[in-house]
Amino acid sequence: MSTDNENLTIVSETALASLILPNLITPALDKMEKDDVPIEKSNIRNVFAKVDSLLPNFAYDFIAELVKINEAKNINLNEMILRSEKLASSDEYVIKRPEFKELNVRAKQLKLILSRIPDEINDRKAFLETIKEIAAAIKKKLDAVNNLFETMQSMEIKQILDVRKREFVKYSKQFSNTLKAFFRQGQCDEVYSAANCLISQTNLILKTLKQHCENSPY
Amino acid sequence: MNKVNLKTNINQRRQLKNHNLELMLTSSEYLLEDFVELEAQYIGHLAQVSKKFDITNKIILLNLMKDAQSQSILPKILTRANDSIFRINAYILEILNRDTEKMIHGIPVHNISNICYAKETENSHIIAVQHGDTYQQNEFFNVLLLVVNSKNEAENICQLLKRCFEVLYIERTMSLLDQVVGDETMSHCSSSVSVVARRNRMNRNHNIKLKNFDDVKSIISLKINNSTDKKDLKKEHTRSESLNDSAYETIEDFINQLRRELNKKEYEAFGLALAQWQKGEQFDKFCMKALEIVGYNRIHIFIGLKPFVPKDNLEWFKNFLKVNYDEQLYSAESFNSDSSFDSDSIPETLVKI
Repeated sequence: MSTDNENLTIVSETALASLILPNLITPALDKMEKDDVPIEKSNIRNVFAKVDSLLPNFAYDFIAELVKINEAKNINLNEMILRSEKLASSDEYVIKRPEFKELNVRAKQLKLILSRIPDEINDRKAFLETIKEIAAAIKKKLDAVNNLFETMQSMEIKQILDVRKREFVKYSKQFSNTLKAFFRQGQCDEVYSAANCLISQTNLILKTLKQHCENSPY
Repeated sequence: MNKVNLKTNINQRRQLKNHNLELMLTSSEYLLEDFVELEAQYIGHLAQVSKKFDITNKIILLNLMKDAQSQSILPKILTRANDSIFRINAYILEILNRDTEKMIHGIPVHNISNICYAKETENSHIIAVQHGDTYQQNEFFNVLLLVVNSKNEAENICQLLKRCFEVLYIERTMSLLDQVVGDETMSHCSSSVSVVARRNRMNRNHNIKLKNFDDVKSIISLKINNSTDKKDLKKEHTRSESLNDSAYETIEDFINQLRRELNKKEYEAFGLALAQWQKGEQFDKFCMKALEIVGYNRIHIFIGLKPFVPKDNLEWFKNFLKVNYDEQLYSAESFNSDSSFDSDSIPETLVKI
């Protein structure tokens, strides 16, 4: 029987795995393209996407292995992924319908504020201000989700969105509890991991809505 | 500061609460729930000091005190009557008389804007606590003045106040975050949609069958008989292998929903209505009674009742909800799969509510 801690580790790893492709691999390929490195970017991206969908966690294992090889550089994967949110490829998580403009903006803002955590976590005053910003951003994002309940007609999508929203609230609580533990014990990595979970849940809301709404009336 | 130390009877003073100061300083829980006390001498209090005085400057501070002494606002000589207790936690700083413990000042920590330390002589270390109502936008502040015997004592006070301020700031910031998340959890509209959503998910994905009537009964009874302890529920769970996790989740969800949304009187009335249904009353009568108890604004509670509705009554129950339920929240989809009791008997499982 798995313990709560084991479950938490699994959840954290899943969140991390979901961010590897958009936050690390795709931006790296984009940069290679910009630098005129002769490479068939779309092929590599497709291969990664396909393999990752067939073998969940492939991209995570791939990067974790790279981190292991570069052990001497003392890379913190949670921190690296969180920082790289600034570079994340955005198209995958943008719903191209005017009704979702507010949610797109609020979700992006929340993710960007969360990605500032590694830079500010050691400056107590700045970090507390950032937490206030995160609280405001979570509220605005939830407001944007709640507004969608009023405009959406499809009960099915409403239900799916409600489940996703509840998960997001659950991870927001977990993030809050992790911060409290951080102020007592000072473990940064737990905070990075909880922030990544929150970003992953935000992406999941966007991805779910994109799948259900972009190509069909809602 | 000139000090007159009267040594008599000071041994009778109680021990102040400052043993293991280092631990007290590091524990935010301690500073939120308890307090720390240190020895200090209370010099006095300067009200309405102009903001043009920068009291972090030692010369300015000492001049300010000298002026106040010449105007007899501050004493020139300190006596035993000035001995005080500096008592602080994350919320409030109190200055108490050392012997009578009568409070001289109580300043909320969030109203403190600065703490300054100035060494006057080898054994006279001045501490100035600048404070004011944070909502006041005026040009003045207040200064509480204390003196301690050593630099170490002065540093302890400064460190303690700084730490209390930090703990309070963290606590308020985290409250803000919790409030945002908590408000959303309490959102009524969301919970009613969610009940439908959860049922749909379970019905579709797990295809639950609450077949074993006795097992359901024992679980519900266990929960009702003041046992909300998860360990007990798990024990019962292990014993009753015939019910799957989803079935347990369904029962638990419904009981919790009733507890959450009904007050004690309504909860008991709902239980009574269930008992009468079990004793032979028609299902439609039970539903009408239950509707009277929960009201139209909480009719979503009935969605949670659905898995317990006997097969023969299911069609009637669907229509009952269709007629009464707000179309915005009602989903016919939640009835597409058969997840009711196979037994046609009345679900006495719920009767003991």
